[in-house]
Amino acid sequence: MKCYKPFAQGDHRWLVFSQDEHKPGSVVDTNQVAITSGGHAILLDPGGIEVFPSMIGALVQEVDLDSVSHIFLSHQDPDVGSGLALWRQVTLPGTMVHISALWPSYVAHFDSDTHFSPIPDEGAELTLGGTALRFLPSHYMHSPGAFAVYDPTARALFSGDIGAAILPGTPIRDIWVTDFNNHVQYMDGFHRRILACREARDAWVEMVAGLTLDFIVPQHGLAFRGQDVPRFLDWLSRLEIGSGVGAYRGRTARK
Amino acid sequence: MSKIKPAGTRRYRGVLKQVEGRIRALFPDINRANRAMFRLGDLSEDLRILSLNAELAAGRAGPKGAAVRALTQYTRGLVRRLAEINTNASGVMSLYDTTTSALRTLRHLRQLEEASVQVDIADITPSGQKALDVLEHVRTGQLREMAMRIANINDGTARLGRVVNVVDDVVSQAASIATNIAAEAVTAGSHEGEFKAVSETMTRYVEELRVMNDQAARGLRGALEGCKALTGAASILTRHQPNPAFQPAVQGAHAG
Repeated sequence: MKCYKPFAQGDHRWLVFSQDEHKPGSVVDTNQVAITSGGHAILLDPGGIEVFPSMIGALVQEVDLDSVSHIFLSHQDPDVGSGLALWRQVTLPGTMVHISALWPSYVAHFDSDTHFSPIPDEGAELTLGGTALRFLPSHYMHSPGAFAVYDPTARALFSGDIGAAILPGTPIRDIWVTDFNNHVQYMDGFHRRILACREARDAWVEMVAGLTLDFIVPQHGLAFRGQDVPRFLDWLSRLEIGSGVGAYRGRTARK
Repeated sequence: MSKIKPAGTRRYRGVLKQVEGRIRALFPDINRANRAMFRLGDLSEDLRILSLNAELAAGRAGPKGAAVRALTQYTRGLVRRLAEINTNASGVMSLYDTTTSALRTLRHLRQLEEASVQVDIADITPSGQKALDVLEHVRTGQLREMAMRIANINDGTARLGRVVNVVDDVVSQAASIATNIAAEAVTAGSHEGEFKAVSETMTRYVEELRVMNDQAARGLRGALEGCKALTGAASILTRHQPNPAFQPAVQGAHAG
């Protein structure tokens, strides 16, 4: 698994773990993020049980396990947190697992011994070392109970499934989108299908457009930086979504 | 800090795979036994109601029903035994939980083993070395849990064996009672039809019990063989002791 470092200022770092060559081919590739600050670390969407070995192998090259005091799950899917039982056992007791208040009893199916810290619908703030992270609502942007993580110091957003891309199998040597127009083909079908609520989409775009952002890291595929951030938001704001709805009327869903 | 490699990784993985195979192989046998035992409660209740009806019929027959009344009391004794073992048979259902949990623990063990390899193949850092210690500690805890689950599987299977033996005994005694009631019916005059019906119904229930128990016994035989093989494979696994040097650094620090 590769480790990219899109931000580092003293011990405040963003580490993106991605492109796991050891994972089974049937498993979708995921980005796992660690933010460190003031001797503490939070793991954002640490991933499914299949990627646990590679993820911990790569993580401990950069982060002491004892410094992991928080785990954040953007939503309830298995590729986000089915490795939870193993993470609970290798991190110190008392490590907080943050997830939408909608999901603790459901995600407990991954690990009934995990203690969750439910995030209320309107979001929350978490102080990590010297920085205040914000959990921003992303409800109905795929999952009815979802959050993104905004780091005002790094001017960075972890967006969960929003901005995700399913990339072709060719080896990738970078984490950044370099040709936005070409990249759209890998995001298009995914977003048309997983997003269903225009009102939520418009509110999310408006909320994110109001943040000071240098980069956005989604849970799958490549990250956006610089001018690709507004380009992505503009593309998202104009996208026709809810492609699966056509199936109710007997039409083939658009891909 | 010295670099400690996971010991005997390839062999260990092989044993994990073997144990997993043994547990998976147990499922069909446990299934068969459980499915068979599922009817035990209903049959026990049917037999209880039949014995009450038989007792009423015996009362109506007056002196000609005295022997049948005595036989129905024996029957109620058998029903009580069935009710008692039915509680044990319900406990056998937990074999499903135990075997499923054992498979989940094995899955974790496999991932922990692979995690040690992934940490170990990279250039070792102090935090990497610490992670190896933590992984070893967690794995030791999981191995202990695994040993406990295998003991529970063995225990559950043995309990099922006791249930099968009791049902076997009940079947044999109930069959004799049904035969005796049929014999009493011949001399019961106008009550012959009633006693005959009791005897025939009881014979039908006994036959159902016999079929059920035979199926459970077949499943049990397979499960017992499977348990022996599982215990053999698992003993290699649980002999895999961690390096004691790992213990003081992490003991009590991480959840087991």
